[in-house]
Amino acid sequence: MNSITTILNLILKFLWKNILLIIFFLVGLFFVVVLRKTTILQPEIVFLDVGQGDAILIQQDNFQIVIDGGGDTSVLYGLAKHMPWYDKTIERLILTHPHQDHLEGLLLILKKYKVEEVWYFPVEYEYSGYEYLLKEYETLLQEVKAGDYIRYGDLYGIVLFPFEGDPQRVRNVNNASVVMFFEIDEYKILLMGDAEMEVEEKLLNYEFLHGIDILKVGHHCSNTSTSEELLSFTQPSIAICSCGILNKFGHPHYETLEKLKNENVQYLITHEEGDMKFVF
Amino acid sequence: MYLRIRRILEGVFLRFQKRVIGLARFLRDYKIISFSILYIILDAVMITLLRNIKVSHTIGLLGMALLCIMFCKVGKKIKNKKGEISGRRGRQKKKKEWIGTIFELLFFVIITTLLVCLRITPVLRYEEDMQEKVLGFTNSSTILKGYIYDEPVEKHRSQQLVISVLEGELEGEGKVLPEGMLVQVKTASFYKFHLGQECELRGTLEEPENFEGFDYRAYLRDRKIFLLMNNPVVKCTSISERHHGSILRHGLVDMKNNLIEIIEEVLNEPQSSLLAGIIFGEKKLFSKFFDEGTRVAGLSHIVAASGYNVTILVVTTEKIFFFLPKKLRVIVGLIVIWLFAILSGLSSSIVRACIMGSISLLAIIFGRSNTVHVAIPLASALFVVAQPLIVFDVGFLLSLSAVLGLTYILPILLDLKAKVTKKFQFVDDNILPTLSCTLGTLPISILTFNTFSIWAVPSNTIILPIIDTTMFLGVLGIVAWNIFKPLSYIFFTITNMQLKYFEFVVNLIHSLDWGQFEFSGGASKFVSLTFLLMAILFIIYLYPIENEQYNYYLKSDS
Repeated sequence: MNSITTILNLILKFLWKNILLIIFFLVGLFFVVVLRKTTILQPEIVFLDVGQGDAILIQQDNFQIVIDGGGDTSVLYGLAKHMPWYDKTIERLILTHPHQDHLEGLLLILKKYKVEEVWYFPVEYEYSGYEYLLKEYETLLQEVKAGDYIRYGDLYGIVLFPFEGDPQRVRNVNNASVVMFFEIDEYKILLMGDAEMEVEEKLLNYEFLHGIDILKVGHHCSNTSTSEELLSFTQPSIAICSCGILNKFGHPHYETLEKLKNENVQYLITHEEGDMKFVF
Repeated sequence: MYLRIRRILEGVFLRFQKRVIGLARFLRDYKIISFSILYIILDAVMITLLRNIKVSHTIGLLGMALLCIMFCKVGKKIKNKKGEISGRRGRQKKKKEWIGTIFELLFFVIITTLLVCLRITPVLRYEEDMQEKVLGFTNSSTILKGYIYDEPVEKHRSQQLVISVLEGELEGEGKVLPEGMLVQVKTASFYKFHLGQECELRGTLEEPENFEGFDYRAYLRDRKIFLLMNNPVVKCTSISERHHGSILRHGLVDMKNNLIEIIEEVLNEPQSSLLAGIIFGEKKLFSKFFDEGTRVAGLSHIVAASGYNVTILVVTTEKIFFFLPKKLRVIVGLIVIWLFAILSGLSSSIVRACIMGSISLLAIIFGRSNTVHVAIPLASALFVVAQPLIVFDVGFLLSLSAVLGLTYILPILLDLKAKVTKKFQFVDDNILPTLSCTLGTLPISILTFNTFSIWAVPSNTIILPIIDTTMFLGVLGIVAWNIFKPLSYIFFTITNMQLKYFEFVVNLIHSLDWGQFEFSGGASKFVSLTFLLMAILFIIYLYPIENEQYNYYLKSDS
């Protein structure tokens, strides 16, 4: 009898000494049971503030599409903030074109996350990061062309450019950018990558681009992109300029912002707004 | 009123005088302590001196000092003899004793200086040699083959590697780089590198340059790096062909990295980096905002390899195995911390912290309070003998000062608190140890980072109580990962919540945007020195001594 009391006392003492641990354990258990099932049910798109560069996250449930990765580690913190903490898989990673400010962060995503497929258009371009991508992640790479699409839940995305048979050797890599159109729950989103006016012209044949809701403006709102024709054709409600503060290129260019103003388009700049999330 | 104040001041002065004399006596008896302290101080002084003054000058200076002492000794002897002739034996005897002590002290200093010089000369000669050689290699195109000597360090736009040269040649000039020379390489952050991997680099070698008041050259020199290479073309062999460096270390570091990968697979940033930092002392990259936040909140020590995690381990094992007898508990503690050292890839800072931790644990086994007073300086001196340049290593200084804070400031605070109230055990367990560690490291952190944050104590007080459970559950989560994943998720969920709380505190304090003071270089030296002196004086005056009136060293006639 005596020994039982001693053991009970010991157990009580142990429990009391580790009370903090036990409380955390119980609360954790509760969270696991109740919240583990919580996923992002509503589709959302996040334009991440990654400094001078592009990075866009589109997700629903546990399905993630990431378009470009910016030029440094910022994208990792951005993804961490917006993705569910237990989900470390990105279903589609899309590289619009192999410039450093789009690719370097994407390579870091490949280093830190499990990625199922990487979409890209194979252009000829000399950059050590691009060579590294082609060599190290060969098995994940998937060449894309206009017409390729992704569908998951309420998400529907289609590649509008480059067209099949477009040359891989281009003078300006920006004009080999993968341009994507997304329709999420009846909202229309056009993501231009760094495509310039030359590409924009080719998009004016797509009738469904009338009256889009969000336009990710091409080439960080540079004056080489966003023609008046494109704006009047697509009539976007919101335009997003993804660029870093005091960048050496002077993005966003004044002329582009003026054009957006003249067309009554509300424009938002990542370095002013931070990450921009739209839930549909 | 005036008289009362005077009496109080006199009392303070007398107590202080008594304690200083007591300390001097203690140091005289325990020569090993005085020798260790002196060795560490002289190591720093002599390295600084010899680096700035030419060797011949120093030898000349030393010679002159020796001559002066000899002359003094002869002079005193003559004086003593004269004194004896003129009588007054008692006073003379006392005077003679004092002179004897001074000579003994000087002799002690000289011998230590000589020992220090003997140890640091080869190190400094290597430095000088390298600095001369380096001049011929800068600003010309080089191809070098080497192996990755240290773990790559992540930066926001790049990563840093340290390469140990195997062979290297300047293009067109035929000059050959010395084998074993270390070169720091900056390269794109997306490459994956592994310790011991052999790489070929093509680029331009450069000398490091100082920036924004930071002596970068000296910082690298203390790490035996004299050349940099920025953005070279890198080609590495496959990981399976690793023939350089210690195979044991590669295995351990790989194992650690695999464990960190588990954390990264489950947790997001910054939680994954925080947990890797807390468990393995791994310095991971945070976003700039969060990094600054941890600094403002004074919490960087938790995630850096400051040896803090070793202290947590000791405390946690004590808590878990509270039912075991004390000695057995200490042995379990020792086993746990050394297993941990192996797990964290035997990185030098963790090993250092483990040695320090083991010493304090052993002191408990042997049960003599004096052991710890001997062990800390002796262990530190041994570190300095092994690596003379360690005295300039901020990590070493921080962990040493934290240990000193726990040993000398904590008892004072506990004593003062006990005088006020015996309730609130929480304060004894959490707030006071934090406070003493913070106070102990204050001079070094002000001197190094030129900042002082008033948030250090409050933020540590609310964060530290959760850290031991975070670490414990994190380890359980990792262990459970390969056995039963759902269980692992339970552990990681709790850890994640705790780390979210950590993140919340950091962001909250950072968003307040107040409470951090910056000093200029000169002012920080002054403030740091003032803090150090004040700390020493307070410790001497207030350090609680058991049965003070019977203490051998404090007796007035001993």
